[in-house]
Amino acid sequence: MNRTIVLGVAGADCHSVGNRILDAFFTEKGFRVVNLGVMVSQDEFIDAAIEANAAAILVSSLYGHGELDCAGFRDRCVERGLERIVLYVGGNLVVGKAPREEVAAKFTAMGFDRVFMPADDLEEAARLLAADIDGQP
Amino acid sequence: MKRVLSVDIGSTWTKAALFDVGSQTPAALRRAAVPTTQDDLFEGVARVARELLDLPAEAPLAPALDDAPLYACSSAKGGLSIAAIGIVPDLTARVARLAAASAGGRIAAHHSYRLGTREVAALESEQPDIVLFCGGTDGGNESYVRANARALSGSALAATILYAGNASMRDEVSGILRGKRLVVVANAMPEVGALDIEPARQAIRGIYLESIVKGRGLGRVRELCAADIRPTPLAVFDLVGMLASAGREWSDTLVIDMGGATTDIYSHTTAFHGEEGWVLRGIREPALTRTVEGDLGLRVSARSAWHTGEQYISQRLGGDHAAGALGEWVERAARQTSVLPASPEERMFDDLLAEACLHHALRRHAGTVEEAYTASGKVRVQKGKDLRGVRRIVASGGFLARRGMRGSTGSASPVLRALAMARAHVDERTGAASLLPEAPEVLTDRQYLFPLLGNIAAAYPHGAAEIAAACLANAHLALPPDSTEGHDHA
Repeated sequence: MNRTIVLGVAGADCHSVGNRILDAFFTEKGFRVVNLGVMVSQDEFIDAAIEANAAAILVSSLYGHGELDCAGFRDRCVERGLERIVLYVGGNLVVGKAPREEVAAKFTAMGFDRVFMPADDLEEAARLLAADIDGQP
Repeated sequence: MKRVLSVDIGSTWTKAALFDVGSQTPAALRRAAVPTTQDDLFEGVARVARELLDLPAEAPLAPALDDAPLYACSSAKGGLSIAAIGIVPDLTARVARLAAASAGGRIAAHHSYRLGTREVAALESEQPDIVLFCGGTDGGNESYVRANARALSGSALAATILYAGNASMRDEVSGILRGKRLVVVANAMPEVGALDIEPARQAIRGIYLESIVKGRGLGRVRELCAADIRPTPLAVFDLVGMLASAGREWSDTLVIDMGGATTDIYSHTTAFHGEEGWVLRGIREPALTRTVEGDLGLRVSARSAWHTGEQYISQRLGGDHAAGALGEWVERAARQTSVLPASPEERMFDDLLAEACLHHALRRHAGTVEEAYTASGKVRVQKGKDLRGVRRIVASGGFLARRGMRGSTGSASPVLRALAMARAHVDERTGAASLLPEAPEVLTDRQYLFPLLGNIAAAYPHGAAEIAAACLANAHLALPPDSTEGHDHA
């Protein structure tokens, strides 16, 4: 099965520690990680996914402006031919404390398949990711 | 004294020089130029070689070349034309263009994503020498690569296809393209953003020697040469890479070669410095690169140059409405490629067109930077190549040889003027500015020695670099009076 994933931090955000942890973690779990690092635009995620034939894009956002940076992400993937790619987003997605359901609903509506919070279990995320990729037609 | 003879076979002129590379101070001894003999390129080479070696006509050349070995490059008959194919415009399609240009090719066409019938038809009418076929990282994209291989397979292209894409697709691509002349090399972009263009460059050189040199009457020239014949831009590319060995002041150099058909820029400088607060996006370019702009030229490409440079030119003309007369000049230059400006007005038009070519070619060669404000402070996001470290610009080619130091409309060099405007340009949408040289010294290759020195750069790196440095600094060898315009405008 295709285990290539594109990883990066969206928007005007320089937090790179978490990004490196995710890279190491998913690599260890058997994924082939294309890590784009920090300050990645939507098009750069999609460009990399096309060239590397990625099965999933994992967008990190840690500075509270995830909603702005992720708006229209799925639409853009569809426009550029990645209709079926698995899209995950995680991090401090909104400013301040908002109920999990509210945040999840917002990003699911944007077309993300799953939404993760800072305290979520990475092992569980890796398991879900493998299952979601394998579930793609 | 160790004499070497170097010949550059251009589309209009066959230029040559005799160098001394054995003395304490290597030097250019003599220069000559004769019209290129289109029907048999060997004739022109023989004529110019006899002239420089003081041999009578019909005298055998081979014995005389024993103590003055011959090196040659050629851009005759359209040079080396390459079609560059990739997938994503900012990734493999860009890498394909960079590799083709850095191998000395003229980019005959470039396409991204899927080759449709329209694109294939365009390639067929262009009939490039080589199709550089990139796409996908290793283990990456298969669908576009497969589709494009099929499209090329079904085409009436005679070109050698050079596959430098996804390594996992090699067998399948070889199978699909078994009816074509195919060369397979390592992926030019094995991972997203990581370049490996050297294998493709080497392969292009090999294809050039095997199929192109032979096919264009260069075989007899090759028999006399001490080394392989190269495409002229590759000779310059190699010289630019060697220049640093002439001294520290040559370590960060940019060379502009502007002709009638294209504007070429070569640079040798660190592409990304990784300073605190800087982030590089996209591909990391090699230190030594060439870009070639097929729409920016002063004669054959005058119309497209005017179109591309319209805004620049109108900005420079200000309220002065000479646009009609400028249009007439552009038409004349495009039709009659050997025309030279006669009146002060025509000289101004030629200068303006040249400035516009320089302006756009510099902006396309250079990377950009835009500022972003993050929670942890201001960050500069760089894309492409950082040219701020460039300390010297060498202006080469017919126009710049004549007017590189001083324009008709004032004292400033057209290069510096175009550069200043390019540096001031800010993208309206993104706020991005170009990473251009900040305060470079501009030198003129008045004798158009760069390709000639490039020929000998591999065999005599030190001598070639020394002569280049010395000739640009001051010395001036006069051309014979009957060929003062012995520069190609094609």
